[in-house]
Amino acid sequence: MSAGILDRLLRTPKEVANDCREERGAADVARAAIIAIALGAALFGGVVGSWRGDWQVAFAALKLPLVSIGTLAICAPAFYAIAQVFGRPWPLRAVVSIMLAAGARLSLVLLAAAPVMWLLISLGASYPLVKVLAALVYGLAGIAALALLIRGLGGERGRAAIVSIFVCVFMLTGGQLAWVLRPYIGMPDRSKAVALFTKEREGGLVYQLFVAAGEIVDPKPARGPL
Amino acid sequence: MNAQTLSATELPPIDEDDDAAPPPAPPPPRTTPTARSHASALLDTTSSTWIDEARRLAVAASLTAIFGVSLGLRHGGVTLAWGAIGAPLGILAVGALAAPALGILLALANAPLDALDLARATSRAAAKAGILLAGVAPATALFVVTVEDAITVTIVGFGALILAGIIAARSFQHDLEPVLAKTPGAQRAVVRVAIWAFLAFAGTLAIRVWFMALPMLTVMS
Amino acid sequence: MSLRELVVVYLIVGVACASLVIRKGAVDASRVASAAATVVIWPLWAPFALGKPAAAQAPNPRDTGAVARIERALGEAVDAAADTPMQGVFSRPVAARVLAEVARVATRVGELRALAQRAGFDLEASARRLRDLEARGSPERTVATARLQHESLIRLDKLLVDDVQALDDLADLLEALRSQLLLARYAGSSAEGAEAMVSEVWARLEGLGAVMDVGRMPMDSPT
Repeated sequence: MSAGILDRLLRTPKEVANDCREERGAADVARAAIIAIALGAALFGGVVGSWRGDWQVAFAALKLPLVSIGTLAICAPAFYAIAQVFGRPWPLRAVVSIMLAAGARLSLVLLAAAPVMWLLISLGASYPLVKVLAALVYGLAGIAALALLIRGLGGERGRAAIVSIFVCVFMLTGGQLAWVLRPYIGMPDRSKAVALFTKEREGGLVYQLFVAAGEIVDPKPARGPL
Repeated sequence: MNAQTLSATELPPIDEDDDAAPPPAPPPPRTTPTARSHASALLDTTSSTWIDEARRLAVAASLTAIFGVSLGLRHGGVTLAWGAIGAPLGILAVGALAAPALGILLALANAPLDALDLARATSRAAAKAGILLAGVAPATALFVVTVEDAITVTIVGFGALILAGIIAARSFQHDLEPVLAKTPGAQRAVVRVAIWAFLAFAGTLAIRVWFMALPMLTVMS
Repeated sequence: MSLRELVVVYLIVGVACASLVIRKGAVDASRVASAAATVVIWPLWAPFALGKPAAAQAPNPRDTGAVARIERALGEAVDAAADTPMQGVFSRPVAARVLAEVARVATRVGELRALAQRAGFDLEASARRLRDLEARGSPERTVATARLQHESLIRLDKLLVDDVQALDDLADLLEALRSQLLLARYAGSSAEGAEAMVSEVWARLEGLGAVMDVGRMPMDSPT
């Protein structure tokens, strides 16, 4: 049953989104989506952690699902609230299942990209390249997820506002949670031991964005692991 | 009634598999789910009483208080209570001070607006703001608890409050559109200006109240 | 408050939600798994674990309350026939047998309804898909598969409609039987008509696909 749902997620996202909205099998979709999100993120995390190797593989395989599912859990109330105020009086189950379906689509793209990522890492891709590739894969996966989300919101007014606000909330929340739980690829300095979390706090994501913007104007040496 | 009137020959036979029958027409397409949310009940636009509107405003304040609590998580303790009280104050100030002033202005302009309609528009706007703030409270909690710098907390906190304010203003304006449509041409401009002035005043008032009532957003530590 | 403390609060709420999940019904492996998931991801899973699906909340237009009517009619018919010569026509064991068979049919109706609510069993969606494939000029094999799927869903829907109608008809018949037995009790009329109706009840149940064990039929149930 889960494999069938995942296949439908990829081939006919509009139908899955409609089913979620009508609460037709929403619980089945939610269950399959959560499993897909956990597995997809774990596999991609393990691959990304393989750049550093050693315990980093396990740490990243554990942390990426935490980030994915944690972000969805934190943003679920926000998505529900945004949908309500912009004219989507849908029950919580419908809203959460649409969000989870989108998250599952994202994770399936990560799953598809994982072997490619592993190959590049095994061929000796550098730390900056792995960072950029991981960001690119997440970007593409995000577009796939967004396609389902947009279809799920229907054609009524307010769709653009819902998507814009929710994407902002989701990216900020996911970014901050990912920042807190870093590193994933590992420390660029391979002489340092693998750590579950980085000791440096260095503010938060938003602060670092300000710092990065400042460094673009006045370049300084890059710092901080990812 | 007796057995003869209900004999087997008079009763319609149970259909066996009837391959010759035409397929039934598919059900008509539905664009919205049949079940609705609790929040939609809070935003209901059907006729209501003053008690209903007061109740709606109270629920909006309670939802906003959840956001205030999330802001207070940074320092904990009594700050939680400050947040729970301070966040709804902005909304209640608009509802209690600014909205009645607008009502008086619109009455002076002889706008075809019932006081209850104004109360309904105000409470619905407050409810939308409350729903949004309660929804982003978990994300806000993550930020206030994990970021080291106070400026991020300020940006996130005021950002959410301003977004809620914009949504509330949009809702208020939308709910008063029917009033504008009924207003004669010359008066319409006056009413429109009054509404815009009210929104600007309400926004400024809310931000000022939040600035005073939410010290956790203004203390740089 | 630190992130660690926030996580502790999160898990406490998760445990509270999980306890509600456990208390919601019989404790089996799936409920325990659902509760365990709720502890960790309650914002995502609790709405499904604790809430009633839309099909259970909204009244189903196809739910005519036939089973409730049948239960009521059977009870009243047994009471009407008790301590009278009609007791041989319709007794409590007979009513229990009828109800057992009706329960089986009702279970099937419930399963068909639940199936119709599930993803992938939507008539409208399958019709739309078939139309899309035909309009796009898709390969004949693909169209044939989609057509087969759609026809299967139509037949499933017809099964449900027919079963619901048959239960409604059975409810009407049992209410008439109850009235006949009451008439016989208070007006002293003959039980012949009631006997014919009881036969018709068994015939209807047979038609609904219920299994008849002739050897176990009570002596007072006419063939």
